[in-house]
Amino acid sequence: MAAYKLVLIRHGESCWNQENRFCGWFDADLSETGEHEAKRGGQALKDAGYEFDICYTSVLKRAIRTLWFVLDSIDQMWLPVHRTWRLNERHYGGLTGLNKAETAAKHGEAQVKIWRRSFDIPPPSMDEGHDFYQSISKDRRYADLTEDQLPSCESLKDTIARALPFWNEEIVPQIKEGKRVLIAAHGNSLRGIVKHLEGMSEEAIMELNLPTGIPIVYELDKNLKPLGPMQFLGDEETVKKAMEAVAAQGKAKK
Amino acid sequence: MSKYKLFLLRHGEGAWNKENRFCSWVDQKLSEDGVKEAQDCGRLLKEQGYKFDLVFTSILSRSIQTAWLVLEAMGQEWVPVVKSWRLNERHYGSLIGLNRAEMALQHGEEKVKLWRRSYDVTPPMIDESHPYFLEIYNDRRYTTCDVPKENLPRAESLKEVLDRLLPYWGSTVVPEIRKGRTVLISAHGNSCRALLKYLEGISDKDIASVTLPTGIPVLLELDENLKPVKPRQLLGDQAKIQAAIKKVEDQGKARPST
Repeated sequence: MAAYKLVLIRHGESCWNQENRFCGWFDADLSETGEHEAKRGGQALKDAGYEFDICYTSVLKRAIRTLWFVLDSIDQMWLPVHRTWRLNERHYGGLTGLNKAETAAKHGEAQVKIWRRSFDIPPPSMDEGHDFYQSISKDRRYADLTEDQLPSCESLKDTIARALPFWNEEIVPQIKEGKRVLIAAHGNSLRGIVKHLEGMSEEAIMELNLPTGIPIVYELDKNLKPLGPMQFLGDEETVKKAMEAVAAQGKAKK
Repeated sequence: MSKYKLFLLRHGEGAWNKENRFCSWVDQKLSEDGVKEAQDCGRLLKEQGYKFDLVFTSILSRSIQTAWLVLEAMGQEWVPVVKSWRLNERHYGSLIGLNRAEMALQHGEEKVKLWRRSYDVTPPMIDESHPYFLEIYNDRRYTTCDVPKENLPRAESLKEVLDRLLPYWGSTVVPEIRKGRTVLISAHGNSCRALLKYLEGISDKDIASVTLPTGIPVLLELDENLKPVKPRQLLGDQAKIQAAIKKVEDQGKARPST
């Protein structure tokens, strides 16, 4: 018997996803497709009659706007929303802004796969000379972060290490108080939560591609252990297509 | 000498504003024009280089939607947004849902103006027989307020709006302003007017003639005691502002003036 229900949603296609560029902490907006995905995700939650009490998201607009579309669809715009850098996408360091296909051609598919898909190998740092150093590292939204907290690059392990404290200290107490939680975030920050919830191995989490724009539902027992595998809300075809699309990225164009 | 900047914004047109009906606590979203007003406002604030640290809204969708659209236009979606019923529009009691023009024809322009613009005249209370009673009081958001649902208003004068707004201003908004945070309050015609009356020391009599246009950001520059150092500034194109003010004033009349 489920003590709690948790809903996660990974934002839809961003303008940079469209261009196949490593996005990370760059504040790319949703593409038209991404907006449509968010609305469709919201509709799926509306059709299933979901009610929430509190929402969490990152400080990146593609996640925030996804949440806004969802809240608009389910008519719960009045819910409290907490934004945190700890739910941000993984920081891709020096690879931020690079086209994935070109990077693969330059470094080889294998190296790209390692950087994107390995657990603890970080990409090269984003240094002061990087095109996006000023606009990311010096952005006002990160003004309160200490030097230790502000990343210049992250492995998946690093991403999870800064996401989980927020999960444990802020989100878990709310769930245990009976608050119904919705989290709108990014592929890798959500992987952190999923890995933790399901006790997945590093290899297993690397193989997991969370679909975009599709609400992911966990039923949890009173110890926050999932009672079963994650469930997706939406039609089977949509879910299947989305998972296949993400797996195809990162391959060099022939 | 101005120490703090505070921005007030009355949301743009909702579907019922268009029909000239007292919307109040009924939860309407913005009309297409209202969306555009919010986007224009955001673009203006962006052009003028303003940076918000915190946004306060009511728990009515139209003020939240306005805040979101403004933040989106400014690329500041990451700015925290805090919501409270204490910034809600004035509760118009049994007048909710009534068309202002019909009311003006039935009761006369003066009585409607009195209900709309007096300081301490409370309209008749809403009760269970009212067509919008359940839509309002069965709404889950009103179980999340800092007062029990049964203690929430059933009608309000402008004075009563200020009575429930002021504690929130003092306990929650002021500390943020004093930390040097640039605050935007995205709210409603009467919750903004009530706050203005308090901040600017406007008399009970004079508040009646204060009209806030929709979608126009109001900048208050405050000293260290949170007293305005100069008159409020309505930002943007002055012709547009005058037209917006006139539009709101015309809503109180039985027929639009030519």
